[in-house]
Amino acid sequence: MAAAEIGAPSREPALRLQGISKRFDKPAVIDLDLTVRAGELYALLGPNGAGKTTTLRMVAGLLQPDCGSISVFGIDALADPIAAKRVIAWLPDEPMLYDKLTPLEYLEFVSGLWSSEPVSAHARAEKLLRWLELWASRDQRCEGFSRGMKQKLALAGALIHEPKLLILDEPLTGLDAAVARQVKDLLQERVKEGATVIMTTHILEVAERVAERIGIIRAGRLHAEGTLEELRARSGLAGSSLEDVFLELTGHAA
Amino acid sequence: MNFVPAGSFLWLLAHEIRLSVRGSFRANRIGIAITAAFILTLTAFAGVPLAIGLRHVGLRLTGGLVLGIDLVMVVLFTLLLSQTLSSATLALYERGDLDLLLSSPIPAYRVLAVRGLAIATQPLSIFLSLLCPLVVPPALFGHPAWLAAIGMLVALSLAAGAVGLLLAMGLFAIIGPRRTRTLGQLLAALIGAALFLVGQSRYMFSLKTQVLLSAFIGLAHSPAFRPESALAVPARAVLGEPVPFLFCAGFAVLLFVISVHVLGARFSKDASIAAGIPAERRRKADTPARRFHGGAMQSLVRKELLLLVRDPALLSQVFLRVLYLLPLVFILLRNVRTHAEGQIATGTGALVFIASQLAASLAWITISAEDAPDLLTAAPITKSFAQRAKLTAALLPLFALLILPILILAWFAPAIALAAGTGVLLASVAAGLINLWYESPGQRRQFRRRGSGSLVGNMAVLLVGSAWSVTATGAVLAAWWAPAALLVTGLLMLGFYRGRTMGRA
Repeated sequence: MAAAEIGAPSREPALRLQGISKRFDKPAVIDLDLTVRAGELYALLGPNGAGKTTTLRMVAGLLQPDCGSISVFGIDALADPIAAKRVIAWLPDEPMLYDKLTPLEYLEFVSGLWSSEPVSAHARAEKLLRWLELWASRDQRCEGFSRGMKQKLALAGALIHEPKLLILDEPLTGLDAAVARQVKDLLQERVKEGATVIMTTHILEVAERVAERIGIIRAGRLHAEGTLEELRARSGLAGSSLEDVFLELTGHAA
Repeated sequence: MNFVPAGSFLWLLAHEIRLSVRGSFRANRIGIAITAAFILTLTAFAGVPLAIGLRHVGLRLTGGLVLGIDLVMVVLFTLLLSQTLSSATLALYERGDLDLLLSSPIPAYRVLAVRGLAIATQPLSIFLSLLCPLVVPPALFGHPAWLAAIGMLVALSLAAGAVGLLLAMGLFAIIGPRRTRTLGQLLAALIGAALFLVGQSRYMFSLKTQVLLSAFIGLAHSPAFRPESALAVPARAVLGEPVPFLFCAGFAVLLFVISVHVLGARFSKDASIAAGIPAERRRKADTPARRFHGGAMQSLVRKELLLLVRDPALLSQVFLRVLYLLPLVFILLRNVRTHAEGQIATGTGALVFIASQLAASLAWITISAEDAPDLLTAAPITKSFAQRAKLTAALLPLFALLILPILILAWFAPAIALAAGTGVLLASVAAGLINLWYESPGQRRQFRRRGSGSLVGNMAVLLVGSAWSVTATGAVLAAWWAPAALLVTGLLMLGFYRGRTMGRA
């Protein structure tokens, strides 16, 4: 998992969304512009139904936007989705696993999907499983796993092909403190190695502690964006917690 | 549900019925409409004419009638038992709301009673929809006692439910939770197929109709099937004699109640053991060279095959369809050696049809029952690539199964083997393609109810499978209409391809 494998620092932003819109029964995302720099950990926050997951699903190629453009490391993700997907990993809040496969078989399958080089993929799988304390369970089927174990395995699956852009939707939901810590450490480690991480979370302390920049999305539009200090300044709540800033900016302050 | 005390048997039953009704109505409105239309048609064109014809006719109980009714009841019981054993085995492992119910202060036997009732009555609907249109009109036209047949069907399903529960939990006690999950399903499939295999044995062993008929007449005249004998009790109950009916129905209810009471505490214990069994440990990892090899296609195919092999419920369903293939292959090979041309052609047609149905089942599993569709969508592979891989995974086991018999066939009759092989190949690929065109995403455990997903798709699989079957039959006979059958098949495929958007909608 050397930094070199993830890729040399890119001048291109990791992600650039321009004028993205998506409508279901009602508009979910409206004319959204968003830029995430390469090598940063970006937290996308917002109330329930604000459009966070829809935005990330469009980036991951799971939804087609109604209009706008998506660029991933300079690749037009709408024109060449396969090339974009090669450098992206998507981790939803509900782990995408197969109950009847073992962790090693699952990682073998995912690395096959991304056509990873076999020997290094195996080494990475072992390293990830050991790091996430799943090595002892590597030959057990996932059906008996706890929620935390499943989430950790899904994270290992997202990392097995060395993505340059890691998109995580509520990665810490339902995890106990120890597992959540492991996941946070792993994400920060990946960022240090040069990867870009975009995550949504309702646990604002996590965003406060790990995110370099924070975007607040509300009713499908990017409402505010910046470092924690910049958001504090914008909300006029210097020295306050992200929770206070978030509530102030989303109009839910007491 | 305010009129019954919370936590009582009736309260729990009302809860189950509510869930079941809401589930069926929401999931399968078209299916219900078709069933209703079928019942009305059967009533109008079979039940009512039967009622008018038998209006002034009294049925005299003979040895033949007793034997006939007894045989029908054995057949029904076997079919019901196959279903209830499968459901009872699954009930032990499916969590759903079982944890909630068993952790509540409601006695375990009451939970089992309601769950057992659901298990026993679940397969009833199809039999009732066949029986009621034939029994209700005669009952209204002078034979009210015949309504007892419906009561006997319900009693039979209760008995099958009780035996299913006893078998499942007996297996659990004897061979343990892990093996029960697999063996219970396979046993259920075998019981379900047993009648078919017995039926096919007539063709397999060339038993003449006359021999069978004289055996039936001989049995019917034996003292064992006289109207006053013990074996006549079920037949008399079906025809509405009060004492035999009360005896049979009472026996079934008693069997069910005793099973539930005896097994209640055990069910709770077994279910908790089933929930807590550690995940099975697989073979240790091989060397890195063996694992993590191959690209996306190989990974997808391997994943699908692993998931299929490791799912006992699915495996048993597929196994059941394979069992249906075996007698056909046997008959085909035997007839080729005896040069029975007509039977060879029919056998080839049947083989092609069942192969297409098996291919459709496997294709549904690999294509529609994907557990992690988002993972595949997010992967750097095109949709068509994933579909090709899944289709390959679906057809591989079928071809592996049929390659040897077709090669043996080729040894004796190359032309027929070519027709059979080509028919199997084309019909299977067609069934797979239809599954792609009319994909109806579902979960693996819904395999039995997959038909409710895409009505047009299922109709297409049946029609195209039949068309390929007729074409293969024609090819073997070198019939003048074989090209016409091929053309119709092609047109059908084209029509269903064009209509795929409508099917999805």
